[in-house]
Order: sequence, then structure tokens, then C-alpha cells
Amino acid sequence: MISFPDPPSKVKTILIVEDNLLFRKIIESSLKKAGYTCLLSDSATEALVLLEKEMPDLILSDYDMPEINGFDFRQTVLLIPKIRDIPFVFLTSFTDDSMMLEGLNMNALDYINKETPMPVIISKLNNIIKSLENEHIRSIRELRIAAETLNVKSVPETSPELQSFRIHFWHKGYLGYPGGDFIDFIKVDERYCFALLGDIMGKKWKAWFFTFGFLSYIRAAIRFCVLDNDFTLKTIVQKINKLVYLDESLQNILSSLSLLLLDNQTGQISYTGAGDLPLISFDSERQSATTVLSSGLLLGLLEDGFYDEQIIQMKSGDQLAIFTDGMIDIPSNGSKKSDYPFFVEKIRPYLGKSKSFDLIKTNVLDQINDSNQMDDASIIFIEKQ
Amino acid sequence: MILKVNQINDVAQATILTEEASLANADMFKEEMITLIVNGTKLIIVSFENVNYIDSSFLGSLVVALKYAMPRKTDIYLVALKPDVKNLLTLIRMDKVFKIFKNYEQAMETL
Repeated sequence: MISFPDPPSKVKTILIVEDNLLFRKIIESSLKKAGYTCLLSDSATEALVLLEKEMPDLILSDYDMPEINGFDFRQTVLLIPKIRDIPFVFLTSFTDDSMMLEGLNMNALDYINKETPMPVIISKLNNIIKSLENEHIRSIRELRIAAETLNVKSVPETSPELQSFRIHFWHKGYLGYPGGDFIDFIKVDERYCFALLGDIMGKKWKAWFFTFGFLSYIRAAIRFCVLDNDFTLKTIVQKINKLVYLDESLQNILSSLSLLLLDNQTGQISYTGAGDLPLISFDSERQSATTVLSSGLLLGLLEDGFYDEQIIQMKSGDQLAIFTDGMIDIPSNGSKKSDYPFFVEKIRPYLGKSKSFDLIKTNVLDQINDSNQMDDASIIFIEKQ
Repeated sequence: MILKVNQINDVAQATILTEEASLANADMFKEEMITLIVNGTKLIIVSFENVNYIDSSFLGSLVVALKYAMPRKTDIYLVALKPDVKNLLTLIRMDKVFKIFKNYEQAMETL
């Protein structure tokens, strides 16, 4: 099951474009009381500057303003792709039918008379925002049904059962959207199993749609190499890289990849990485955690991605983790930062225990929520039995 | 606009103005970089002096710009990376595909 929880109903921001100071203040205070955040502009020019940086959830604009009037402002907004889809409502005292019609014809959601009592104005805006939100939830639900019908999954439902290793994994999409992270396990036979984790650069749908293309290439390359009895990971990843590099439809899309091959007979794990974060390897005998860096570049970046292959000999109790960059992005003092060592430090105390992954889940992963998550986050955790 | 550009002949010094280089401005960055390349700039030196955080969407745009630049014989250098940003770029081997310098002056010295 792909999880698509409803988006959080966060505080909505409304941009008020109104040259009359008094009216601007009145509407601002009413909207604030109704639970909205307000951005204020006293002219269309100022609003356009503001819109270069801000993305309000709705624009509420007067018609009669000096320099650029509300209609011209609306026309300008419609020409700017980034902001043209922001819901737009006119609030004005010019209310003859032909003007209302002209305003509504410019893709405005409503044309409200300024004489309308404030509570009614607020209710109208509430309704507009609510119905847009419902529309959004409905679209996501429909997409989920479509994706499930097509049986496309970028994250599997369960881990494979292996003779010598225990595999755990965890994934959380950014704000509950399916995103660019993908996970897969390919069990070749009783001896060999591939585990892979990738991250398509980008977020939400834009990245998600491409996960299937990447996954298909990766699965195909692995299958072909298995058919040829070639289990050299760097060859496999180089093949995947070349496929992605040559595919014109993926020209602007890049992905990281961590590919592991688990050998149940020897207890060895081979590892090749493409622009991924270093792997964490825990040695139970020495009680020490080390990071393992691979040398390969992101998939699709250059024709030759300089891939290498490293072998980790796993003994009973040894553990290993690979993860995507959403894991290391953390909010800090009101801004954001990426901190790999910080994440390693956070999980370090739970390594080498009998239920390490459960502990990491409870103490680290379950703490990740919509308020502090900044990107798709995924982790695969492997233990040698 | 996300880049403040100082064009010196066919070298562009482009400073990213925002503190956060993320999904919200990744497309804009990509477009402005491609415009510079199309206009015949031979070297773009991108300064990260204001950037505290970079996410994967923005990294994607940076790399797309590089892929666009390479066949057109345009170089892209990165300068003034804060430690967190630099560490992330190094972690995912971006230091192998971009030349990284301390500041504009050091980058200009290579010319």
C-alpha cells in the first residue's frame, strides 16, 4: 500500500491587495480572527514584487487602485506561470453586472461586493478554500486508486525472508506524498538477494512518476546480469547508468542508488553506490560503527559514473544501514540543514542491540513528522543472523 | 530572480540570493542558469555565500544545469560553500563533477 495521508490543514495565507488603508486594516483583522495569515500590499505593483517570493493560498484584490487596476493586475498574474494558479478573488465596490462578468471571466473564483457584511465575506472565503482543499484530497485519492490499479509500487510491502540476514526497511514520503525514494528487494535464489535504495532528485509527484522508469531499468539490468551469471555490482550499476544516461526522456532526471548484494552462503555483502550517502556498518565484535563511502556518481550524470564495489564481510550480529538524504535533513533554529554525522550519532546508541531496528524506529524514525520532515526519507537496515 | 549576476566578458559571477536552496526555487535557478549558458557565458561561478541549506530538488537543478552546460563547453564552478552544504556535496560526490573554490577571487585566478 502506498500511503497518501491527507495533507495537513495548515494555516492558510491570504494576500490582500487594497489601496485603502482603513479597509485593508479591517479585512486584515477579520481574516486574522478567522485564523488566516495575511500578506498586505497597497498596490498591484507591490503585490507582484511580493509574489516573487511568497506563495499565498489565495489572492484577494480590489478593483479600483491607482496605477494598475485590479483587472490589469489579474491579467499580469495570469501571465506568470508560477503564480497563475493561485486562487484569485475580487473584492470591490464596482459591482455592475458587466464588470462582475469581466472579472469572473478572468478565472477569478468569486467577485465579492465590498458592501457585503464582513462575516459573509469571511464565510465565502472559507468555503472557497475548503472546497479547493477537498478537491485536492479527492485528486490524491483518485491518483492513489489509479496507481494501485496499475500495481505500481515504489516501496514494497514486506521484506524478503532470508536464511542468513534479517532485513528491515522504513519509508516516509515528504508531507505524506509519494515521492522520489524507491526501495526494492530482488531475491534471485536461496543464495543471493539484491537490496536497493534510490532517491530521484525532486519531490512529490514530479519525482514519483519517474521512480517507475528507474525501477524498471534497475530491475531489468539486474535480471540481465543474473541471466549472464554476472554478479559484479559495478558492472550492473554501470549498465543502469548507461541506460539512464542514454534515455532522452530521463535527461533532466537524476537519481542516487545504493545497491547491495547479500550472499547467504558466505555472509558477504557487496556494495556499490551512485551519488548516495555513505553506508553505516556496525561491527559487533569491536562494537564499532564505520561509514563506507562508494565512489560512483549519480545515475545518468556522466556516461562513465566511476563505480566501484566494496565487500563487507558480515559476522553474526553485524549490522548495516543505507538511507536517503531525507534522513539527514533537519530543522535547526528556524532554518534547515543537512547533517550526516548528526544522524549517525542519533542511531549509534541503538546499534548492536538485539532489537536495534525497533529501537531506532521508536527513538528516531517515529519522531519524524510533517512538522520536521523536509524530504522523502527512507532507510534499509540489515542484520546478519 | 534568484541569481544576482555580475557579468565580466564571458564569465558570470552568479550569487544565489536565498538562504534556502530548495524545491521552491529550484526551477527558477535552473532557468536562470540555462539562460546564462544560452547567452554564451563560458564560465559560470555560482556563489553559495547566502545558502544555509540545499535540498535534493535544488541539487537536481544544479546537475541539470551542468548537463546542459557540458556539451556547450560552458564550465560551472561553485564557490563560498558553507560547511554543511559543502559536506553534503562531498558526501554525494558532487565535488567530482564541479570545481569548488573558496571564493570568487580564487576561482578567477584559475583563468
